[in-house]
Order: sequence, then C-alpha cells, then structure tokens
Amino acid sequence: MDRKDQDMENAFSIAGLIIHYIDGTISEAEMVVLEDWKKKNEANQALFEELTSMRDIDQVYVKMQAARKHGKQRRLDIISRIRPEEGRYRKWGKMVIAACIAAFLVLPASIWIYFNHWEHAMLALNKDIDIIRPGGKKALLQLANGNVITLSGHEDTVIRTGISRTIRNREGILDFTGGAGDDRGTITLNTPKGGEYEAVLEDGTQVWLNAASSLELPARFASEERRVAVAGEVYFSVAHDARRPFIVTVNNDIDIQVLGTQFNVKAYSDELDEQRVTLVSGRVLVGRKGQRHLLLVAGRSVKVGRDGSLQVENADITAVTGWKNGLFVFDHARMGVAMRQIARWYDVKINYASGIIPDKTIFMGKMERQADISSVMRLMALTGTFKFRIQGREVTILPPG
Amino acid sequence: MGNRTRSGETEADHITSLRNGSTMAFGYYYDLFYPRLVFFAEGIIADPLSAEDIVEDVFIRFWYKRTDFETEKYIRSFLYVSVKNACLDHLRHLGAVSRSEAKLAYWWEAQKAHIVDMEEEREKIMREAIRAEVSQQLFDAIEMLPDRCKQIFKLSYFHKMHNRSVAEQLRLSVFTVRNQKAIAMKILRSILLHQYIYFLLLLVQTAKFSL
Repeated sequence: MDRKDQDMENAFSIAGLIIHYIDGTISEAEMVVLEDWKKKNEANQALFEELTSMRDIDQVYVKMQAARKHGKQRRLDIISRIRPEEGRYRKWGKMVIAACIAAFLVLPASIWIYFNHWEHAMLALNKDIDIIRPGGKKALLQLANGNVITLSGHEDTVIRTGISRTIRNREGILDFTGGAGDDRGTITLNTPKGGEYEAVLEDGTQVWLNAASSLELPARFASEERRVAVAGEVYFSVAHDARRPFIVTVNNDIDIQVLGTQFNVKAYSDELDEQRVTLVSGRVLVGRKGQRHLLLVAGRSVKVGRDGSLQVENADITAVTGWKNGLFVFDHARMGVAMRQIARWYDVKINYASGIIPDKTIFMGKMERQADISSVMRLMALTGTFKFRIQGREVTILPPG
Repeated sequence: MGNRTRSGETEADHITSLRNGSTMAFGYYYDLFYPRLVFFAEGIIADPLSAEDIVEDVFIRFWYKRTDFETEKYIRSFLYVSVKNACLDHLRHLGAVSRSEAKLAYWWEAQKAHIVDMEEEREKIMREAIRAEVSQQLFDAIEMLPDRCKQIFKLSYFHKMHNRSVAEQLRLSVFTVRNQKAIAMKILRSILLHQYIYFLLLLVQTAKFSL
C-alpha cells in the first residue's frame, strides 16, 4: 500500500464540499474551508466556477460516458488477466444455451433460407472474407514401382501397371478391378487436405477416403487374406468373401477383421482422442495387434484411447458417415472436432483467439460440404458462440462478445 | 462517498468478497472507479489511450493487493494515488524520450506549461482529482434522471438552449420546461445527497408534470 497521500485526501474532502455546495447542504464551517481553498489560487477558483455552474457539464458528460463505455469493453480483458479461468466459465453458460439454440436452428435443411437474412449482418462482422472453395476429388496415387500419379475427378484415364493389369480412374473413382496381375509391392492412395476419393478394390470392396487420409494395399491381395492399412478417415464397404477375411490395419496398431460389412475408420494422427471404428452393418472384430479382439455389432463404435484402450459406444451413423454423403454432420461435436473437419476439408488453418475454449462448445447440425467455407462458418456462427475472421487460408475463431 | 450500492450489498460485503478473491467484487470496484480514474489520468497526461492503459494496470495491482483494504475510502485513495504516480512516471518517461525524439517535444512542452514546479504540480493534480470526483458524481446523477427530465436537462445545460427553444423543440410549454428544469435540479441535488425517498416522491411529481 502506498503511503497515505495527504494531498489526495484533501482533494477528496474538497470534492465532497463542492458536492454539498451543489446539493445545498453545505454548512457554514464547511463553507469556510471551501472558501480558503478557492482563495489559494486562481485555478482553484476557476475550477469551482466550472463545476458548480455546470458550464462544461456537456464535455464532462461525454468524457465520462466514453470512459464508462471503454471500461466495459476492457472489462473482460482485465478479468481474464487477473483470473484467466473465470472469464471463460461465465461464457460457458451462455454457450450451452447458444448451442441448444444452434441445434434447433441448424438441424433442418431449410436453414439455408436464413442465410439471406443474416448475410448482411454477418458480412458486417467479417469484413474480409475470401472465398475458400470446398475440397473436391483429389488424390495422389503411388504405384508399386514408385511412380506417383496425380488424380482428379475430371479425367477418365487408364493406368497400366502390369502386363495384364490396369487401374482406371474415372469421375473420382479409382477402379482396381481391371484384371488380375502378378505385381508385387504396395500401392498407396493419398488424399490431401481438401481432397476426397473413392476406390473399388480388386475384390469389389468399395473404399471412400476423406480428406488427408491414406489407403495402402498390396498390388495384389494374398490368397488367404485381404489386408490393407489406413490412416485418416476411411469408409469401407467390404465385399463378402468367406474364404479370405478382410483385415484393416489402423496406424500400424489396430486390426479390424471382417468378412463382409460396412464400417468407418477415423484415425487422424492430429486427433488421437477421436480414433474410432464405427460399424454400419455386419460384424467386425477390432483389437490391438496380438491381443484379444472385441466383437462389434452394427450401430456401435469402438473408441481407441490414447493409451490403446478400447471402449464400445453407441454411434450416430448419420453423423459418422456424413462426410461420405457430402455432408458435415455434427452430433454433439466439440468445436475442436468440428473445426478440424473443416480445416481438413477446406485446407485451412484454424486459430483460436484467447477466450475461446474449443472443447467447451458443442455443435449439432448438418451442412453441405460443397458450400464455400464462409457459408459454413457463418451458419455455425449463427449459434452466437463465436465470431470468425478469414484471412488468406487462416480462419480465426473469435469470442462472440 | 456513500455506502450505498445499487445491488443492495453493503460496503462490508464487497470488501469481504474482494478479500476472498471474488472477481464479482473486483468487477464492482472496477465499474465504480474506472471512468473517474480515466478522467483523472487524462487530466494529468492529456493522452486518452495511455490514460486507459495506466488505469488498467492500476486495477491489476489493486487485485493483487485486494487483501489490504478495509474500507472503500481506502480503496479510492489507493487507486487515485497509484494512478497519479503512474501518470507522473509516464510524463517523466516522455520527458526523457522527448530529449531524443523531436516529434514528442512539443507534447512535453505543453505539459510543462501546466506543471511549472513541484508545488504547482501538486495543486494541479489535486484539482484533477477534485474534478474527477465531482464529475463522476454529477454524471451518475444525470444518468439517474427520469427520461423527460434528462432530455430537458441536456438541452438546457449541454446545448445551452433557452427555455423557449427547449419548449419548441420538445413541443412543451415554456412553463413546463421551466418546471422540469427546476425538478431536474432538485432531483440532481437529491441524488447527490443520496436521499432516495425524496427522490422517489419527486419521481411521482415528475410523472404528473410530463402528462
């Protein structure tokens, strides 16, 4: 504590006397003190005149009003400086409500109608919006001989990979059914951020790769098993073959063994808390290499923990497979999870401004993946849980305040 | 300074909450003192942006010293003295800078004109504190005026309009305007006095006059 400042105490006393003078309750003794102060110098006299005549009250009013306004604007900032966690808790309550409203608003497809209404308001909030187009049919194919071919959805090409073997690339689907071959080695299909691709394997199994994903398969399946490896997010519709089980290895760690079935694998290396295998139909065995496997039935998913633990959960199939059907489907998706999907699909970087805790906001809703990023972000921002700014390929999530 | 608070808690409640680390209590004092402290700081350094930064830093210090305060008066003294010292440091720093940077020189000169010597500096700072305290109370009082009174008060005192012009603008009789002005002043005085019962009675009267 600073030492008691007598000047300041005197100033407060004089201020009190001036107020008493204005409200008409000043006593004679007080008046004597006030007069003494006034006589001390001309500046004091002038100040007394100024305050009691209300001559400059308009300027005082405007200045005070501005100071109060700025104070309110800085309030949260200061509170977060003294107590970082508290400024956030208070927002959390609002966010839950906002998320509930959001769920209500966003779910029906008719939400697009709202767009026109909100367009202006949102544009005002987000002045520099660059159009960032959604992802599309893009992939890199690495052949067994090491050659790398860039694939796009617009072409119809036949890639000769062996004497009697071809891979056909047509309309974003890579077709491996073109004849048997004697190739050895591995073929890798990689989608970049902002890319997706489909493949039909030699046994008729259909595979969908989401953005930033990969599928590794032998140039030819072995006679006793069909084994592929994946990373990122991949959906399988496995062709039934009782003699040859289909085995998917995820991140070199988890094996999924199937006969004929449909399932989704999500295993992004930047999202280890969200590794899941979700079964749409049929049955699969899921487990870590060399350990006991779990039998998973349709409608359930297995969550793979960071520590390798397996946990069976009920799954929302529509949400899990939404991407394959050209949709973002968020079913109680934490902001971080939702934003990572957006980042991968639009190939953008998401930054969070201070005051935003991505895991404290939950999204519900369904959106077309073919919309451009600002439409998608605007729709999500309608929840009132955040504002955003797009600059170049970076999206900054700002507090709603 | 009175013990009243708008939410009904007593001064002791706020002080206790503040000691216990309540950011609500901190927020209460922040709202209470921020505008007048910025006003005060601006009076000394004539630079609104720096004034706000200085006040913000002082509030951070206030938070870390929150267990030291026993009364609201003590808090007020601490805040004003801290802002004063920070402003003087700021000016000294500017003075040092101005010797090397010509563009700031005129700024420092303007300050020097006000602060001739130590004695005058002390007097000047006292006046700024008085100005800030009285202005804050006047501002709060004006803010609490009923709408019609406030409107008439603003036209009369802010825009220096005569009763007749005010009456024309608001389509009232000059008599009503004169009355409303008198009532506004009475209410202002009563607010400054913190006489709430009186204030409420006047409100009833005001309502009658506004018809």
